[in-house]
Amino acid sequence: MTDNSSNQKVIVFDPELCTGCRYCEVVCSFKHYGCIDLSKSYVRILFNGDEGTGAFEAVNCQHCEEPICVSACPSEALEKDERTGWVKINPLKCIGCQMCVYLCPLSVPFFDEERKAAVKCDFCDGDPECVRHCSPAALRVVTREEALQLNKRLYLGIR
Amino acid sequence: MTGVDIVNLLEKGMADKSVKCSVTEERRVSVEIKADDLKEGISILLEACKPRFITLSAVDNGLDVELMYHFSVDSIVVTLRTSIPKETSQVETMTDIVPAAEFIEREVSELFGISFEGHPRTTNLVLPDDWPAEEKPLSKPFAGNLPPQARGEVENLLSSGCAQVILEYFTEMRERAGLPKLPSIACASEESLREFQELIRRTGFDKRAGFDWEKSKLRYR
Amino acid sequence: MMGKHAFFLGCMIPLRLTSIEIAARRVFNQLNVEFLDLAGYSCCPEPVTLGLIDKELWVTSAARNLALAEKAGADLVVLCSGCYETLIEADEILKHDDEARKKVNELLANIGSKYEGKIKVKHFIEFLHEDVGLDIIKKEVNTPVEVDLAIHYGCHLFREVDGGDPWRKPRMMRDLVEASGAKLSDYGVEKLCCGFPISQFDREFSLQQRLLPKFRSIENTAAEAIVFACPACIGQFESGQDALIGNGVELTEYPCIHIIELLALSFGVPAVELNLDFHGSAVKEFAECFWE
Repeated sequence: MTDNSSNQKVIVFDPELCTGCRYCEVVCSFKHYGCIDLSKSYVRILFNGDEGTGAFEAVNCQHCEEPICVSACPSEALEKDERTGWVKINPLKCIGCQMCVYLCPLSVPFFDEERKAAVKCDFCDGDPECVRHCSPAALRVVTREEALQLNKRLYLGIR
Repeated sequence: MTGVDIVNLLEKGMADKSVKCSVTEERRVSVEIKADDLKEGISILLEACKPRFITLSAVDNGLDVELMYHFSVDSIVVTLRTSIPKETSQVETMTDIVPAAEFIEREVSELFGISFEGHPRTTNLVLPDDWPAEEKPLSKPFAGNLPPQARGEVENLLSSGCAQVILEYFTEMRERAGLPKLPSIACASEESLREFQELIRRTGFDKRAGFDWEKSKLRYR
Repeated sequence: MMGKHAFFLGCMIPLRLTSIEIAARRVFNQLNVEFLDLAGYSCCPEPVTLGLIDKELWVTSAARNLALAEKAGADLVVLCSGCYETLIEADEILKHDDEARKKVNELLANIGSKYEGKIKVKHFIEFLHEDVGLDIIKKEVNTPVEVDLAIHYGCHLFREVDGGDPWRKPRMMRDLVEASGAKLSDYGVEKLCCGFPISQFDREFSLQQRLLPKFRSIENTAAEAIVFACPACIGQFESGQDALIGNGVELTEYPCIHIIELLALSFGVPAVELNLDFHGSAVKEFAECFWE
């Protein structure tokens, strides 16, 4: 990881704190579409395992260091900002081929039927709504380095 | 004549009306004016600057339609803009003082549903003759920007300062429990309610949400 | 020596679940803590719907409430977790964002008000635990009952500013329940949301995927009732269990008691004086059964 990359801001999800309220989805859809429609949210909260275990997972864009979506895009609609590291889709350049939708390992982007373009998390230009409204701070803005440490602890048991 | 000159003469001529004039760019003047004062404002401009009428443009904002009459004074564009509430969808025609506005007012009328009172000809200009009269192709639904789940709460909040609707069932139960009928919330006193509502007005939220103070309801409910 | 404190009651407690207000006044009275009432306060504003639709309205109305407390020279002790969420967030923003504070004060000046960030916003749970102290509370427990309870924290109780430990206040809530003499039965999904925020937009989901798993887990314990710190959670549970049963789901009905009502009962306040029939669940019967 380059120095620049390890300091970039990303959104990390901590399943130990998530209460499953799904308010992050409510505010994301409202911010980007002006209406409350959970199917239009760029972050998605899922039950992980049996119902009733209270174990949640989030599907949220990692703004990867080497984004597959950016490499796959035939019309250069997807760009990783050099300074902030955030990966954004330019809807005016998108041709709706959905390569990014198929190739993302986390299935983060999805095809917006109305706009006829792919859409995904844009980090809300630095102050993500989902993080702002998450009461238990399960969604947090941290550096990529910190996010990796957290994920290693959670999923690999490495402290 | 500069933009500033135009602003000055309009402000002077409309001193007793609420008119907001500003030079927005190097050669653009914007005038915000009430629909009732529009004719007077245009008359003053015509008299003083002998402008050329460019066109009329319209924007549907959901609850209102904004009309913009654009004039050119030499190389300066002067725009008189006014808002027409969709509840009335009506404004006086300007064709008696600006004959060149005839065609464009007809176009705005049939595409947006605004009726220009006193207009000499109201037959279709751009739409086919057999087009259904009630269908205005460029008009948007009469709705504000509040999601349906928020509308009731907003109405309660703006009329009483409380998000819950105040039910007699509960105020009576409070009394029986030995408490005052209402907690010390804004609507418990006229003064604090007025203060709260004044603050709301200052934030402009009532305009953004489309709240009718007289009816204590949103305009689109 | 404690400074002055003012209650922030919000909308739901005084106008829907008034028994919570009554219990709070009795508890703090017995603890010799004097509370001012804020005259002319407005809705906090409610964080789930109103906090979402217009940021300027939200921060300005919250600032007005904070300014009222400042004028009275009192820290705010908030009885409702939703109000706590809004007021602590707004206070945090206004304390650190100079631009936002300036704009808000320009608006407040029109009504002769000003926000200066001089007071603290406290959740009643942390007030009881930190400012009053467990020792003092335990001394006032005259009628402890070792009843088995399930605890529901509610999402907003986890809200901390400055990157604090989200489990801080939930742990305090556990201590307070146990201080009353009650026993906590762990059921595994304590942190699961009651479903209130999402019930506004998808009621079925909130009942089937949030409330029902909670009930099913609680049914596997010896819990006689569920204890809460938030009126919205109580509302969701009480109306939700009625709705589920109405839909033919076989469910045990639980009394949904607020922690301050539990404390009032354990302090010796007679159940009849708490007007527990404000509740939509059998809290009155529960109190009469165990404390009489």
